[in-house]
Amino acid sequence: MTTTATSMPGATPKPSRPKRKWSWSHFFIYFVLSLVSLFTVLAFFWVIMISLKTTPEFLTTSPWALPEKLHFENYLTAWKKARIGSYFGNSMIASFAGAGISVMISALAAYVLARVPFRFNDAFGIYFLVGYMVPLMLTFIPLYFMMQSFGMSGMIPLILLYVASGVPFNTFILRGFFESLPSELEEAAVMDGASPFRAFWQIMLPLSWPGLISAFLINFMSLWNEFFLALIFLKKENATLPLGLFYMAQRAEYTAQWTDLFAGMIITTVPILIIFALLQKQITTGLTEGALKG
Amino acid sequence: MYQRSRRVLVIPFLAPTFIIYTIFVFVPLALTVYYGFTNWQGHTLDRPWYGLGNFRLILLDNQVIGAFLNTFKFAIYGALIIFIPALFISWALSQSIRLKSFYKFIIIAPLVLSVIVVGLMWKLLYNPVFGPINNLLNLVGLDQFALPWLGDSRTVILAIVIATAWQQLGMWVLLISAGMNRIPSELMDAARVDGANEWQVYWKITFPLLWGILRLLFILWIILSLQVFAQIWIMVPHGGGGGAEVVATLIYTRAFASQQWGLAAALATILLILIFTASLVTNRLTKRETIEF
Repeated sequence: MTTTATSMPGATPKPSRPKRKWSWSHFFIYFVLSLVSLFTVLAFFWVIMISLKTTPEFLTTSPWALPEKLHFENYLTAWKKARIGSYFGNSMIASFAGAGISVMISALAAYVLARVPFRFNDAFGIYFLVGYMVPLMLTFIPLYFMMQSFGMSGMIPLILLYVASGVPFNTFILRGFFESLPSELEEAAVMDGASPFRAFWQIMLPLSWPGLISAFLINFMSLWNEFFLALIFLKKENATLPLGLFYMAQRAEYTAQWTDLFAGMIITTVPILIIFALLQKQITTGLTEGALKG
Repeated sequence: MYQRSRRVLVIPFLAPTFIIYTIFVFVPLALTVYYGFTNWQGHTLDRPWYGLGNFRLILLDNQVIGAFLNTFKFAIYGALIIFIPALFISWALSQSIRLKSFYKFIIIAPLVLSVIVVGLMWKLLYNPVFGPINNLLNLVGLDQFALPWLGDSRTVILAIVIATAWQQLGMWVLLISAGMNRIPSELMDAARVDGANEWQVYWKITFPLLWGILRLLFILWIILSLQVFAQIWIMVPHGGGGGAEVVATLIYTRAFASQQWGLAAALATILLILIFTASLVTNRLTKRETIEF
């Protein structure tokens, strides 16, 4: 636990904190915050501990017992035999392609909506926003048959849907971002004879990196975690991590291969927690702005 | 002059997003509503017009009514469970305390976890044989509370709501904290100077100014809970024999298992309308004068 605490960014208390009188309300604050945090930390610790036990050990000892020996080879078994490795690759492809393409095309649209006044500007803005309230989960029946009639299966329809599902959030948040950029630079570039495309590509796009990265990260994380569309469009053989874990959990009910499953859960979680720990500020700002401005 | 020259960008820049979004979001939305009025079943692509037939069937179907009741239960339990802890925790995190960013990180972190990890973790925590929750209850002598949480139709919804609330708490704390940061501290200081205690400052100044954000969070929660699927499907596959059947799981089984595509689409349409109206109603009911600052 101490290692978790010290590796957290900004966890060390600042020395210049105003001295406060000890009071019951302070005690209560610490008590509740610690209780909530302790629960989360313990739950995670429990999953990690079980991922390091052997299956017989897991089934026979108390759930709170520490492993007698740390069986890191569970991770290797999960990665190779339980195919977590291949699920991991599929998740990487789907999330990278989905988030990358979606942010890219949404950035183009958002730029036009934010910076070019034309007649249907607002109408397009509202049109893209409708999808914010329409969950893809409710439209899966036409989607399922549409993909079949296009002759598409597996990863391709999934990525297409991931791209489409990111559009409302991305155009919305990036439009706000482009609107906040100063227009003088762009105007100056056009005055100097740059084409409108070059003014976008060489002036505005580089300025908007922070917004693009924040949007990409939020898309990436939600796609990395996406379950429903994967359930509909993928099979056991080409599953992403969430779906692969789902089938593993079903199998574990019969085969009792629980320790692999726990290792798989940790493998799924670690990349996302690392991204979150490193880029907490960008991610939380993106989430907050996306919600508050909507 | 330069504004006009940039208009050449409109079509090429909008086209990719417009096409993908229209094909994969908008058209399926319209088609779902249309399919809801057809008697489309089985292995054909034959979709005879059925009028309000599906909707009539839905009203007479006890399984459907049960699924709707469970969905509402999920929404209401969740809102009740998250609300007070979220307010308290975000208030606590706004005080000058040590390890603030550590606490904040831990409390928000579940938000970025996959629903499969959260679902499986809680499912295993609740497990009556090797799960630590019941184990702990037995240890401290509360044997009567060591229930098969997910196996009992009376507790299953509550158990799943708790898991979901644990994850969503992060979003609430994040947004409420952001809202509290936007309130100018002069407002609170002025009240303190006038002799208000912290309790009064919170309820008379901070809380009313947070109302807009709380309203938003309630709407987000309603949208999330009316379509809740993954949590249920992961923790109690196939709705746990009806105890945890919600509308979304019912749509899924009516579509893929019984191949009643028309009926499933009609259910999806009802859920869509519910989501829209629930958001509007929440918005209206909780409307107070918006305070600009």
